[in-house]
Parts: sequence; C-alpha cells; structure tokens
Amino acid sequence: MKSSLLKNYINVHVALKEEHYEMVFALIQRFEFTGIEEKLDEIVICFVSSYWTDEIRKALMEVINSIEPEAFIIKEETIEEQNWNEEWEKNVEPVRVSDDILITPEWKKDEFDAKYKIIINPKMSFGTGDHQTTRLVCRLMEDIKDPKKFWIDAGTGTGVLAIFAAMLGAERIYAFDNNIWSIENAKENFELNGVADKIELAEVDIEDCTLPECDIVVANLFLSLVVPAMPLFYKSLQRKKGDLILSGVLKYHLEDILEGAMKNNFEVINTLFEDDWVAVHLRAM
Amino acid sequence: MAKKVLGAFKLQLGAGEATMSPPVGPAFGQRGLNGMEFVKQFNAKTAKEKGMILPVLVTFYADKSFTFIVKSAPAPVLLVKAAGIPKGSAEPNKTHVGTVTVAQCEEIAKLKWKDLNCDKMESAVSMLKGTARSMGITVEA
Repeated sequence: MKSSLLKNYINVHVALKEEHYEMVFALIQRFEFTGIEEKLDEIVICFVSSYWTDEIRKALMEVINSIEPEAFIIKEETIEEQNWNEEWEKNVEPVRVSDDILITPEWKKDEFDAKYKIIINPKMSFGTGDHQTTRLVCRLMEDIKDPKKFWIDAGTGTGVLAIFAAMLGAERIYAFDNNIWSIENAKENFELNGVADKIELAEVDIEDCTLPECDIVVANLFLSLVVPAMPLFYKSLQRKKGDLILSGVLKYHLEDILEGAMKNNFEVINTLFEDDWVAVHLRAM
Repeated sequence: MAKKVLGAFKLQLGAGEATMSPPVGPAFGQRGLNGMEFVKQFNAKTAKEKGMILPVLVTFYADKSFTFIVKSAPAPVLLVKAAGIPKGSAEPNKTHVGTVTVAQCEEIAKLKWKDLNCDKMESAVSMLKGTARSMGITVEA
C-alpha cells in the first residue's frame, strides 16, 4: 500500500476518573472521534489526525475539565494506518462453501480441490469465506440460472464475490468499494485468480453513486446501507428484471429487507440462513 | 469445555458505523483477533441505533476468538439525545443547554433500568433528573 493513500490517526490519552466517563462521553459527542477505548482512570479518544488541531484540543479539554477540572492529556500518540488484521490473516484457513466452492488463501491453494477454487489473500478487507454472509451469498449466486451476464458487486471487499461471478461465467463485472484497502486487495485478488480482464474496479461510495444498467447485483454490506440503496439497485435492474442478492444482515432484521423489497418492487425468490445471518435473493418486477 | 478467557476491553463506538480505524483495528490486531469480523457483527447488531455512541465489552479467548456485548448508551448520552442538544455545553453546570420532560426521564429510566441500581422507578427518575441538572439540562414536568 502506498503511504500517500494511508491515513494517520491521533490517540489522545486523557487521565480521567472512571466515575466521570459517562458524563464526558455524553458531552464530547460533537467532536468527530472514530471511537474511544476505556482504560483504568484513563480514556483514549481516537481522531483522524487532520481533524486534531490546537483549537479542537482546547475545546475538547474545556468540556472534559468542566466535568473534572483535574483531568489532563497524558499523551498524544500518532498512529499510522496499517493492516491491523495481519496477525489474524496469517492463520486464515480454506473454507468449503458448498460441494463446488472453496475459498482459500494462496499459500493453502494446493491442499484441497474444488470446481470453483477462489484464491483470496486478505489484507484488512472483508470476504475470506470465514463469515456466514459470504458463504450465503455464494450459495445464492450458484443458483442463478444464467450467470453469463453483467454483474455488479457492491462493496467488493477482498473481491471474493466478483471473482466467483467471473468463475460462474459473467461476461462483465463492475465491482466497487469505498475503502482503499479493499480496492488494493481486490485488485491483487482479481489478478491472482486470472479474472482481472473481466472486472472494472472503482473506489466509490454506495451512498453517493449511480450504477449502470445490469443483470445481477450482489451486495454483502450492512442493513443501514442495503435498505437505503434498494431504489438505486432497482433502477439498475428494472429494465432487465434482474436479480439482487443481499446480505450482511441479521435474521432479526429480515423484516426490514422484505419491507424494502416490497416498497421497491422486488419479489422474493429465496432466503438462506446460517446461524444468525440471512441472505436474500430478490428479483426486480 | 469452556474456552480460556485471556482478557477483555471496552470501547465506545458509533452504532452501525464501526470501521477498522482506531480504536478497533489496533485493539483487535494487537491481540491477533479478526477485527473485520467484529466490524461486520457490530454494525449489523447496532444498525437500527445509528447516531448513538454505544459501549461494547469485548471478551477474547486463548483460541483467538472473541465475543462481545453491546450495552445500552449511558444515561447522560440518552439525556443529551432526548434534549436534542447538538453540542454539549462547555460549562454544563453553569449554562442551560436544553430541556427534557419527566416523561422522557421515565423512558430513559425504563431503558436503563438494569444498570441503574434502583429498586423504585421514582428513585431512578430522580437520579436521572439529578444527572440532567448537572449537565445543564432543565427537567420540565
């Protein structure tokens, strides 16, 4: 990853009595932090470094000191963005998704055989086959009767679904993600699987994009993204009465998906469950 | 056999909006845990509470697995939300920053009942009124 593409973060360690944590959390919500870690009589507030200025520091401490006058900044630590998932990724194992589908890291690719062997070297991107939703979407994709069409993979992550679409015989695929790690990782994995020539890859945010007309959309995202994106998907699939495969959703939220489908003129073709997760196959009417 | 617990850590994260940015990436990464898996699960579980900062307690085990519990937002956070205050007061004990009703305090008390350590609803509401006042939030009948 080129260093110019990486973000820096600032971890601000503040000495604060535990009894004041909740009050401080309530009053600092206007600041754009990426999260807070609670320690013993110390909180670590994390910011994107470009946001952290003298003015913000002063304003933040004014609020905190109004709750606890003795609270102070212990240290400010610059954190360079890196692949924080690397340690876990070293131990990724091949995953059998169905009789025909195997997702494996490159270094284990010769251990098992499968009709569709998807090679994924993960780098802080979602889609190693380890998660239920990846497996559910792959199983629904396998059921598409005529896959030799134009596919869109919304939120491609490692690129696993786009690669599988290519293996199923997709003529053309448009894959996008808003995360630079995913773009870089998907590019590597497309080349690794010999399908790069079929896939157009773009760094785009689903909340701020238009989609070309296509036949099939796969979107393994989050409930808060897939439901608002349904009109966008419908517009892309409407003319060809295409298929939409959604996941990233817990089974407890299936009603929200079905309600969104009904409002946006989709019929339900199939639903698959694994543990607490669900994937839904819809078709534009 | 029960899995061996190695430790736990507590984060405050935006509901439905966790990413691998700090604190999530480093907190999971330094323990060899799958942070991407956490992001997927946390965002799915909290999708309907978008806009809230929620406490999450992560327990991790010797086999590099983890479990987590998302708790309800702290009472002061809920009071700020109920009062519709976009910005916290820099001097909450001196400046009036917003208003909540007793009915809103009762709703919050119901939501936070398990965490409030009270045996009567009146005491819980009274405790919340005190918290509100200390934040510069006026409680109206």
